[in-house]
Amino acid sequence: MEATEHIGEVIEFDGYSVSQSEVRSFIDATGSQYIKGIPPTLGTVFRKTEYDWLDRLEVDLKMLLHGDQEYEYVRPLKVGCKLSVRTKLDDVKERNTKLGKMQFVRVVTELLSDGEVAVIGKTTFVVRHPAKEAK
Amino acid sequence: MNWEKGQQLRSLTKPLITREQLKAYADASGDHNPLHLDDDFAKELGFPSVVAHGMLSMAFMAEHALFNFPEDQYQLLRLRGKFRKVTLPGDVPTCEGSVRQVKGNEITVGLRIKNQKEEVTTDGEATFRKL
Repeated sequence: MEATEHIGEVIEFDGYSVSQSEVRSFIDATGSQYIKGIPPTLGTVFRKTEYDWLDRLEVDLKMLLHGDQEYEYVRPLKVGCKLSVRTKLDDVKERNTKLGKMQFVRVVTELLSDGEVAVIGKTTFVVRHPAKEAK
Repeated sequence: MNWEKGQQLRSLTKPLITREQLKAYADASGDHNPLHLDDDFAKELGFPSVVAHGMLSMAFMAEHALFNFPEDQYQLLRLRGKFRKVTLPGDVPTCEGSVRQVKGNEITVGLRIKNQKEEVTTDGEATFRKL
């Protein structure tokens, strides 16, 4: 199946939670001394469904780069809340560049906290295919 | 604080990027792509060494935003970042920004991170609502 035929499909996962130790590790690893609550980019921890999309599209993870990321904050995340995620494949485009074929995979992820949408994340992944030409 | 269009944010310089930090961030974020952890792997892909996670830079951007707009006074509504150039161990990121728009009690700021060579590695935007 062509990647573009999957556009609009959603993959879901229900099994995350926000733990104090996870928040602490994230704050320590990023050196975020000015953040007192939940780090705004903590959503990056909950990407299982985005990786599931990359698997489904048979993307070689070695050739993966992160192009851009956007977050919209609807409700605050709290330590102890149960999270579920649902990721929709929003777009897949290919372009020829001087570095070879580049594939742009855009996904939209809703992070639900105790059943309600808390964060909406939009991610563009860039996949390099240096040996190939875009169709 | 009354924000005005064009007003510069206080800048924030982060400590030098180290391989230890990339390992700690890989563990904390769950992103163990060898591009960030294995120099040989990164060089095979054409990079000079391991590269930092784009999202590590975005974490710096978020911290810089909250440094200027504290959580007890402002609610973060949106944050976006575009990854322009790689960040390498040994780089020193400096976060800068300025106010793009003030609309009622919503403030939108342009954000960017420069390395020690003054190259922009990441740029983006954040929107806050004054509480």
